[in-house]
Amino acid sequence: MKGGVPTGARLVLAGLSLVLLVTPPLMPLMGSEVIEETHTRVIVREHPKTGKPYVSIVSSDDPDPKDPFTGPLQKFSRPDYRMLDPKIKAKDIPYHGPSSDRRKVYVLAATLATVGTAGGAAGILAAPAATGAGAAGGAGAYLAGAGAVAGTATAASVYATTGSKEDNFIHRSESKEKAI
Amino acid sequence: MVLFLGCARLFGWDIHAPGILSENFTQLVRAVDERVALYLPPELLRYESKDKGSWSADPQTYHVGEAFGPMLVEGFQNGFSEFIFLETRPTPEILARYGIHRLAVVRLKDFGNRVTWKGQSLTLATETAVFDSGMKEIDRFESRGTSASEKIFSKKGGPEVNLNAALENNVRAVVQHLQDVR
Repeated sequence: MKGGVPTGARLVLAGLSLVLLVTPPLMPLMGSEVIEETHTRVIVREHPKTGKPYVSIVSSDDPDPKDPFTGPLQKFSRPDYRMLDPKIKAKDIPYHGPSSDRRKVYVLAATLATVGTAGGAAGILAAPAATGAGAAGGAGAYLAGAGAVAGTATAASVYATTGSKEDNFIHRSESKEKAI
Repeated sequence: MVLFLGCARLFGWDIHAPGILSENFTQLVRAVDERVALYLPPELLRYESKDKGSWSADPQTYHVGEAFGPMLVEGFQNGFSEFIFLETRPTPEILARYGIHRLAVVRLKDFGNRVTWKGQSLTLATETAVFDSGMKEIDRFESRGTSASEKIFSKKGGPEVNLNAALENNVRAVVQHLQDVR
């Protein structure tokens, strides 16, 4: 991930903010339509993952609007999807992003079980046995019930791509028009 | 049995995607010269998908919204020369005031999780409504992003990156569709 934001990008954003702030009040003077009071103002926020600034329109009634992105604000390196290739070993593609650490959940479960609010000793003993292969790295133990599975691609797709032939994983990105 | 089931729900995968686009995205999507605004309903940013699992599977929780929101913003930043994010509910007055000729409102439609013995396929479906400066709807389209791979649960970060890829493919579909139908 790049450390800083190019000066050019900051200048463009500053310019856009200035245009947004200055132009509307001038528009009535130029004979344009009457602009209603919108109770909004322009701020510049930083993207929570990249730090790249963007223009945001917020309510002017709120003096300190809360950033809508409330997820983990930790900045991660960009993912390399080659790690999804089953032939690629985990050590070959370094990964520094979030990962599900289920050991913490085990501790929580054990704690709750000890105080008697969630399951008994039988549950604690049985559950790791059912999930042990996954903790050790086996995929086979994780046969989840299929959720709401999305439909397949249609001929009406405006845009559709699949991963390259060299890849051993499938990526699809598609879009189709709908009636308004 | 009841006690066991209560406990089993505590075991499982809590999956947070990195929430950042890959380098591949910037190579595939080039910015076009246009001012476009984006509004995301608050429920999108909070959306989580829970799979309760089965006798042979752990429950899984996918934190979709917390990653998808920032990825959409980054996708629009990369896709349009002038990007404006609306944190307040859009009105014709707001669009007129800020010279916004196209506003995209993205809603989640479906999140699919199919896990087999060999691998996993995730699909995110969204519906995007496009409005002009008078808040008249001028376009509506559905987008899907899918990522399917094998043995991902055996790798550190595998489920997280698989989720990230599905979200990114959806973002790409949305941005490129908007670019195509200008």
